[in-house]
Amino acid sequence: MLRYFVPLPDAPRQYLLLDTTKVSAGFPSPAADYVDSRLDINEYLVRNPVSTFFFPVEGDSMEGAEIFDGDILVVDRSIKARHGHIVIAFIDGERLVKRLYDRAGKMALVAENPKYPPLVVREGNELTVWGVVVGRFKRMA
Amino acid sequence: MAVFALVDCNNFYASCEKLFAPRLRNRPVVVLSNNDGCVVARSAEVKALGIPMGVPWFKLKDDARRYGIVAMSSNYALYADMSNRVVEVLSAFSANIEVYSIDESFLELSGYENLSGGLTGYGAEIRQRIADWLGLAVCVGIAPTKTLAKLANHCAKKNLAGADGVCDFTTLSPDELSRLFDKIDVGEVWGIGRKIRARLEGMGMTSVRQLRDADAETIRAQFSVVVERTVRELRGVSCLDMQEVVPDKHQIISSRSFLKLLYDRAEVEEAVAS
Repeated sequence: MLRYFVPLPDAPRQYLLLDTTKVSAGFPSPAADYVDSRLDINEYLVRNPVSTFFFPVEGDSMEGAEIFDGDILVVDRSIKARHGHIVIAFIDGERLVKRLYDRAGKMALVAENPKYPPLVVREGNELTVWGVVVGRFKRMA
Repeated sequence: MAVFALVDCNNFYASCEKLFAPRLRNRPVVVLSNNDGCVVARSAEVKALGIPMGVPWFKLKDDARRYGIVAMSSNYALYADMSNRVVEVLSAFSANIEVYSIDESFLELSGYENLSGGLTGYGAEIRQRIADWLGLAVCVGIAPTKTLAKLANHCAKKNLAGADGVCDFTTLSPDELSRLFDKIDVGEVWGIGRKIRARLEGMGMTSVRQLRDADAETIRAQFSVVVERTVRELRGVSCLDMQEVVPDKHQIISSRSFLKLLYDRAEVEEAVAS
């Protein structure tokens, strides 16, 4: 069963306090913490709600791009897919997330994991580049 | 001059299902009513097989096996979401939109004639935007009245006139329109149902052209002022305005409360008892 989610285009905004001081993942920062701005998660992840869809990820082929099993991808169809974009692609009945290679008349869907060879698009393959991945999110606890 | 466009999604429910499921590409797909009873939507491939609307699914089992028809349970939440998105995209193209059904909207385009590319180009742009952003195919009919815009949409869909899913009656000469209307059955006209069509046929009118050129007074006497209005609309006289769009309800609440503040127990008991 394929799953997908559609974000609510008119979801109410919920602005939460955003601390502009970065959380240090290295040494503790000597800077004082103070709240400076407000952030809505929808607004941050979804720039064009009308053309944006969410897709859950299955598998490990994009781990090099820090896309992991169980992540939810934010996919925007209003962006024209170009070489180097991470895309949702339909190819021969499969729905994949891969990096798009599109150079010198050659097209391929490239995994970000050495376990998986690039999928070179040949004549006879039915390829649809469905949308461009613009973000991803995950609940951790 | 008034100008209207009718934008209609092709095979809407089936297209929504295909959008997310790559294995359905190029396959005949039907969408079934609640509890998977009857066919409520058909993809282009299913229409090409000549399978009609409303057939109970169990009667299609043989066809399904032979042609590899895929049946999907209806998912109205998805269709409603995609429909809202279509309307949202359309609202960038006109300030005045009438959502006529889940897969059809009228746009008022009066005053848009002088855009570079003209109305036809504008229609093509609408079609392209919905294809890019939503992955859905639409047809666009453009004309000086809503009834004609509906008919232009029919022509776009059936490839009778126009090109690439856009049919703009404002670019056709009176002669071209007459010849086109000769070819179209009067039953295709918006508001001409089966009964009226049968009576028109009894009066010798089977084509759109014959209805358009019928005597309006006679039509009113024989049918109604509504059908007369249809005749005038077919002649390019706009009689039907855009209907106000009612904004979506954001919530529906069913709640019970007292008419006035109650202070003693007996009053409260009386109020909740009934």
